[in-house]
Parts: sequence; C-alpha cells; structure tokens
Amino acid sequence: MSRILFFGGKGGVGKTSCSGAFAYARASEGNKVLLVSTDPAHSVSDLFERKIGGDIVELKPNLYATEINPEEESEKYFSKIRASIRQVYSVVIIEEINKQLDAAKLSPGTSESALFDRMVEIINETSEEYDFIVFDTAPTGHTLRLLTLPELLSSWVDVLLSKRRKTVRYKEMISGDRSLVENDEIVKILTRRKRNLTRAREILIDSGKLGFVFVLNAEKLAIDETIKATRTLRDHNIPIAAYVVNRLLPEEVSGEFWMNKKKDEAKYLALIESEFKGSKIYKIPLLSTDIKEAQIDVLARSFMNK
Amino acid sequence: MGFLNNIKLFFEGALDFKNRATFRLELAYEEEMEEFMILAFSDIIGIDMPTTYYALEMYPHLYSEIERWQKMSVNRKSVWEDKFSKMEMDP
Repeated sequence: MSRILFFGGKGGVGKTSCSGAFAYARASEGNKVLLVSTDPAHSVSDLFERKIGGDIVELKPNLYATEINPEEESEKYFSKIRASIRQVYSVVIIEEINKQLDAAKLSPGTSESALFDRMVEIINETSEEYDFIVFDTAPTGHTLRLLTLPELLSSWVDVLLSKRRKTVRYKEMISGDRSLVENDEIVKILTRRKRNLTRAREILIDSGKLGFVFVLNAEKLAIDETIKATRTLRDHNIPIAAYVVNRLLPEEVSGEFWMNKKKDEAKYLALIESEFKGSKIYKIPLLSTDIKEAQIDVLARSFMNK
Repeated sequence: MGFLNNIKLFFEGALDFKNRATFRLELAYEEEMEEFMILAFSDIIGIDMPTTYYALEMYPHLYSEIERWQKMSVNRKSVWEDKFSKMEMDP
C-alpha cells in the first residue's frame, strides 16, 4: 500500500519544486511514484516542461504524474447526473433540473468538492500500485479543509442512509411491498458513496500511511504560519512526515547585503530546528536559475537518503 | 358492567387499529422524510454546507419529493401549530 504524502505550505514557498524533486528522488531510488497536482496553475506541467493533464502519464522511469482539473471533474459529474434523468421525467421537469444544476455548478464549494472526489478516486484506485502518492497541494488553508472533509462527509452519508432506509421501510409497511429498500435509487447512491469514503478513510487514516509535509522558507511569516498549521494538524491527528526548508542561501555569499540575509537566515533556521524538533527537516538550496527539469535532479539530491 | 365496557374498548381499539397504525406510520414517514430533506438539500433553504455538491446526484431522483416538501413548507402557517396537531394529546 502506498505512502501518501501531502505537500503543503504558504503560497510561493516552492511546494511544486519540492514535491517534484521529492517524487523524483524516491523514483530514482527504485520506488514507483505518482505525483498528483491539484494546482490550477498547472505548475507541475511547467516544472517538468511537458503537458500532463487528467490521465496518468509517465514522466521518467518510475515517476508518474497526473493533474486534477476541478472544472473538468465537476463537468463529468454533472454530465453523469444529467444522463441519469433523461428517461425519468417530462421535458419541462428536465429543463428545470438542468437549470438547478447549472446554478449549482457556479456555487463556491463546487471546485473544492470536485477536487476532493477525484482525490478519493485516485487514492482508492491506485494505492496498491504505487509506493508513493505525492500530492502537490494548494496553499495551506485549502489542504486542511480537504483533509477534514472525509470525516464530515462520512457522518453525513451515514445519517442520510439510515434516514432513507427508515423512510423507505415505512413506505414498505404502508404499501405491503417488501422489496423497496434494496431497489431504492437513493439507497444505492448513498451506499456507493459510503463504500468509497470508507475505503479512502481506511487508506488515509487507519493504515498509518498518510503524512503531511510542510514546505517553508526561513522567514518569519512562513514559520509562523507553519507553527499554526502544525498545531491544527496535530489537533486533527494528521501525522506530520517532515518539514522542508526551501531556498536556503549558498554557503559562500559576499557583500554586506547577502551576509546580513545569511545571518537572518541562520537565526530562522535555528528557530525552525527548535520549533519542529523531533521531525525530519530537509534543507533545500536556493539555485541560481529558475527550477526547470534540469534542476530537479540537483534539488532531488537534498531529498536522498545518504 | 366493567367487563362489558372493557370488551367494548377492546373492539374499538382492535377495529380502529389499522387506521391509527397507518396514520402513525405516515406521520413517522413524513417526519423522517423532512429531516432527510433538510440534511441533504439544506442549500434549498439557504444553508450552504460543504455537502451540497454531493447531494446533487440525488436531486433528480427526489425531484417530485422535493417539490412536495417545498409546497408543504409554503403552506405551513406555523411550525408549532403543525407539530402540536401531530401530537395526540388525549386528556
């Protein structure tokens, strides 16, 4: 079963480069790795300089990647719903339902929910196949919501399922028809969702294979936010696998400006090492060029087990 | 006298049973159904929950029941009046 890792952190700290380099490092050690991008800006495609898309593609030997596009996912979902009503109602009612669905598509929670659904699907379908599934997630706030959604959704589905079974059973008693419960469409839909959610929760929570990796820079704001987020994750019993301090200045710097920055950095690094004592802390260097495919190799070395 | 009265009560209860039972079942059904609707489709009454997206796939299958629920809600003058009349408070 896969080790499932979520890379999170403040916007701009370098999550994409770090998750990409980490995935690359694990793949070069012989592990089969799936890198999943949830970033709407297609930054993983940019990083590896090739188009990735919604299917799983092979980037390098052992290293696979896929992008989750929430708009496409929600469109697929809505199409399925629209298809399921075609035979059931009159044209007028179908029009009405379609209007409601169109309005729902624009609602604020849709994007995140569609993302979550695809995440669950990927986890359920591929966890036997890969040694590592690495999620390059969106900035911290979203990730935390995503990780607490399974529990909320499970409770909701359980309550609905029990209520629906009761109402259909009442109908059975009133009408005398005993076969209603198993054939009820809503019971079928809810049961399927419950099964998928339960499986995802087993993999994410019970298996102990889930881990969160915080990426940060040696700067006050990033550190503060990471401390807060650490506390939140601990409150929800989400295990923290490691911290990654990205963009560390090179050893040899000259000039007063850079010497000062190096001094500040050292101070923050010490703060990081004391705040997150006991956890693995990776240190990733700042490179002199933009991170593209050629630089991933260099960054990956910092993630290798010597 | 007491014995005959009991027999009379017995027959009243036995004959009335089916109607009362069905009535109670229908009430119970309505109540569970309404609680289901509120939980599943809370967005219709203006409460936005993170579960709204996931309820959408049930929406077409419950279209007529949702319509009925909405009509019922409009026709209710007061929730209290509704709930009190459902509680059979025999003196």
